[in-house]
Amino acid sequence: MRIRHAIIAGAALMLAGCATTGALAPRDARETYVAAELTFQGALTAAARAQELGLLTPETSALLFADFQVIDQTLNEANAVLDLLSSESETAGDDRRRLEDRLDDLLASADLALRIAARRLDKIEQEANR
Amino acid sequence: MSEVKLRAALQALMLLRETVATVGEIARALNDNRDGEPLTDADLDAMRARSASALERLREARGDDGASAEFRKDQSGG
Repeated sequence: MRIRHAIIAGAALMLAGCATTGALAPRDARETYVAAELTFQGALTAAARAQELGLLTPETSALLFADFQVIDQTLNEANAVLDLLSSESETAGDDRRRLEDRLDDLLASADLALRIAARRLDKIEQEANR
Repeated sequence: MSEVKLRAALQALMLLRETVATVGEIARALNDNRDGEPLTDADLDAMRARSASALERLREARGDDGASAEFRKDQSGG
């Protein structure tokens, strides 16, 4: 039983690590967004597995969902900013720089929230193995 | 190895396979972006839609209090 618990959390941690610092090392904001989006899908899969295995208490579930809501909203906004940036004719000069700064902030927030969710999954594993 | 342990080991392998598949998907997406056709806005929108859909499925799978069904069964002694 311990094996499966370890893999749930290990998966989440590995996926969270891939977003910005892993061997995949995205080159730019667009690639970082792609890595964050797919990492998010991996974290959702890990949480769904934890749910199926009966490892979520009301408290842990509420905390995880709060993390997921933040990540979802952050990536929504990041996607919208990327759309704006790709239409270069509509954004130039200071506007463009502001959007790029905003995108960097959003991706950093998403990465942090993904890591927090991964730590929560790690704690769920520790509780389950007690 | 007992049947229970065998099932647990098989579940572990399935999870590992899913994880590797997800990491592989990230690598493929980035490699495609670099070596092939760059990812378009439509590709990014599709990723966003998949994440939102996965979150919605997980939300629907939650009970009223957010606990796993198994957890609720354990708590009620069932």
